[in-house]
Amino acid sequence: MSYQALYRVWRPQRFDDIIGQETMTQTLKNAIMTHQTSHAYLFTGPRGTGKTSAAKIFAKAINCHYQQDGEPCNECETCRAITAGALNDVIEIDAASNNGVEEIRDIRDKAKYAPTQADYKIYIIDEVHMLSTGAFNALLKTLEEPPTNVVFILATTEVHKVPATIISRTQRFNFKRITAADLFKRMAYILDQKEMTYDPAALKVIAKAAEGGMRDALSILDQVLSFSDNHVTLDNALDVTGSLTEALLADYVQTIQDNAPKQALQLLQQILAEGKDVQRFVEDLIEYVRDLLLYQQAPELVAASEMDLLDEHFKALSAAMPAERLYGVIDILNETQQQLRFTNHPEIYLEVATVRLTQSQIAQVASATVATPTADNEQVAALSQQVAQLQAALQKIEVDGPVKVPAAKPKAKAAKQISKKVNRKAIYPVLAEATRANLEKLKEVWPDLLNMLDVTKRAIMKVSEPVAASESGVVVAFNYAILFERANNDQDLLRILEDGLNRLTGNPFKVVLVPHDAWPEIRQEYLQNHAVPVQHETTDQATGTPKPEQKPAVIEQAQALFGDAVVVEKD
Amino acid sequence: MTNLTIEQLQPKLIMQFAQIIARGQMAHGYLLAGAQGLGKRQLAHWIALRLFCQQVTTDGQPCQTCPECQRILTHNHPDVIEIKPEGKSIKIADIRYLKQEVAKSGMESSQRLFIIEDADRLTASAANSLLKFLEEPAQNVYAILCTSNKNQILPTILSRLQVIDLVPLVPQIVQQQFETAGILPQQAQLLAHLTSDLTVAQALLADDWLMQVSTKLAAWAQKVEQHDLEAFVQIQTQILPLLGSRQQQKIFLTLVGLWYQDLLSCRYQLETGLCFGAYENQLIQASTTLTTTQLLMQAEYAIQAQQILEQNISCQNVLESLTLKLIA
Ligand SMILES: [Zn+2]
Ligand SMILES: [Zn+2]
Repeated sequence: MSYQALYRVWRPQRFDDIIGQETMTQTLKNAIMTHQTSHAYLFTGPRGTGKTSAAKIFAKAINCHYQQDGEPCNECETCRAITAGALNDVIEIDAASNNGVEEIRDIRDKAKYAPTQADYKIYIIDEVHMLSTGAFNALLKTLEEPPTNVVFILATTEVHKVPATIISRTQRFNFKRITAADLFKRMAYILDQKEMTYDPAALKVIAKAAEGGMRDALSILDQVLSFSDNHVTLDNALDVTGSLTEALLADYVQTIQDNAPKQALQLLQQILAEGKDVQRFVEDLIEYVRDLLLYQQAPELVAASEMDLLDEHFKALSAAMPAERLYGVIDILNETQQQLRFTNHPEIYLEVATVRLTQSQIAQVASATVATPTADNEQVAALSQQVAQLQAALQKIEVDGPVKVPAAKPKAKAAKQISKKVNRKAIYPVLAEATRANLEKLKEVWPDLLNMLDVTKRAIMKVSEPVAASESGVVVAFNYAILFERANNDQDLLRILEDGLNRLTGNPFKVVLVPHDAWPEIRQEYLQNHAVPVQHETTDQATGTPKPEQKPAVIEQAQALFGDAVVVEKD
Repeated sequence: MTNLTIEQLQPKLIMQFAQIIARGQMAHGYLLAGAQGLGKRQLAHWIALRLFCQQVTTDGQPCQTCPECQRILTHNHPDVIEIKPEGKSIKIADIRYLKQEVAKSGMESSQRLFIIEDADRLTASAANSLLKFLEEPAQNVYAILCTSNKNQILPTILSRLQVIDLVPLVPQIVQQQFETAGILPQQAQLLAHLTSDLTVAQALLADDWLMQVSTKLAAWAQKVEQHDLEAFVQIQTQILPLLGSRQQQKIFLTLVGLWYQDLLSCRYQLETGLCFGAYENQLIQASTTLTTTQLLMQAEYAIQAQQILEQNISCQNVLESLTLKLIA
């Protein structure tokens, strides 16, 4: 006789045994007591929340001749046969492995016949979302003309995959995640029954790791028991769940509070060296910080969900750390959690996150301003800061979609400095004659042009793109200011580009360079100074009537010229 | 080959499973999860041996010599069924076969064990077909699934198994293992951060690949530190020729990540050894010229590059754009 898993031994046999779903079980009991059961039910909810158990109890209760208050007696022949899975009238189907039309048609045919042993025939279809489309259609037919004395119970963890037509034919019950406190109570009860002892902190660790699923909780408890001698220890629970002790979490958060990156990194390495699951570590940490935050607002809530096992360090941290800091910590951790899903080498991710966490806002600003230690580095540092700002601006543009052009704000100082170096006198004539068609043509030959360059020049030009073109001129934007400067000062490069375009298009070409970040501003300046009324939709020349307040015209003109959506903000 | 034995790799789990089996508390299903080289398959085989061995030693170890042990060791035991992906995935047909085999119960003994390797490669239908089987297992039938991608296992499967996370080996131990196998200390140091599998490590050393790549990486990093556009050019001329396969490209980006890990170690004077010990001076130098904000930003770029490469963007694009961000 092999070992019986706890969750099977302790599978609920009465509605009242199902933990954390009281509203639903009460409704089901009422239906049975008043003989007002529906012919089709849909049980949805996360795994391990009692859906299949509820279905089997329902099958018993509706058929049990000794039911009391809607509960099955679990003693009579019918009840016992159903519990043992031996009653022909209660049919359990795993949609995952029987998902075809044939299987469901078979059900449809057989459902017509009256139950043989019990009063009601019960079909329990588990993982119902796995049915094929054909099978769903067949099932729908049955649900539309329900045979008498037949009840369908459909269970699923993924209700969004169940067709609406099916859902609308059923009475739906949403099973909830079970609270950690409820899981804790149930485990304590089972252990008491088994006459086993436990460390409450161990059950708390398991309850939290189970994430609202009773089956997960009991499965973890099983594993912990198999490693222990009739006593559930915190060490074993931490071991099995890969969780960290609260003390260690508190120490880590303390290093954040102290802005102490070195200590934080040392602690992190200690944690990793113990072989803790990295994902789990981040999850635990997020939860811990959330609790710190919650404790500031609703201490009694945290006390309850933590089963009153709160230590002094937790309380001290919660009192000491401002809410904004905690929100910031959660943000960084959430980000890290996303990143971790894609790597087998998590250390660097965690180390970066750890250092970031230990930089308070003030510390960050301070370290940025102390950026220039030596005179030699000064220029480089200034330049790289400049570029960083440009990049940030660029990133924002990419994220925000349609370009919003802020009317020259002081913060874009760096961009302005560079934009001064742009030769507007050379750009305006190109823009005056620019058309989308020309730009398209130029984009076509662009790769060929790049192929004419040597490796270094090609490397520089690869981060550029033509943004406006006329018959004889092109404006080329650079993603990186540092490259723009380099290219703009490279007369050799410009000459090769112009020669190349001449050979490719047959026209003499003027090439003008702009940094990408300055481009919207230049474009806006040009449009506002040379805007045309709406009727000139296919503008390929500037009329010189300045109408800066006529937004739609400006936008349409911009589209005609550059082929993208530009939103020009007024000052 | 001097790979570590499962007793050396996972001593704690071996002890725990010895206890579990001795007490007759084997659960019907386990998932062994952990990176390559941690001993998942060896542990599964050890459990098989321990379950079937007729002469378990006094300290609870399988004898490895009795007929049962011998048949398991040669993969000829009719009651130990092993499934692994043929090609890319484990298909529903494989699970049908498995169910049939398990149904022929009591062929030789009263118990049966099936082992599924790379369980994350079960197709959706195969995984779902396995579900009910795991839910209502037959008496004395045990399942052991192995995976190095636990995140990709269906939650419904996960919740029907006891999940055992294999403890990652600390780099220091792996490094010792590599050194014992004759790998030079400095190479072993770096390799230990890339893999805990000796075979994989040796493959990386073949044709001096890892050393060449490290040299190029350090030279590139030097140019990056100097904000020299030459670094950009090096991607195409020096580095890409060494990155022929997707795997090599990924490893290179992992190495870039490790480089930044070393920079952080230098900056905060952590005692753990550097991955790139040979370049300690360069690393220390670089770590002092960057501000914390710059160092963090650069490390973030290196991390992002790893993810961008996963999105099927060409390696050249990824590395070149990374270089530009770092130079800027
Ligand atoms: Zn009854
Ligand atoms: Zn033996």
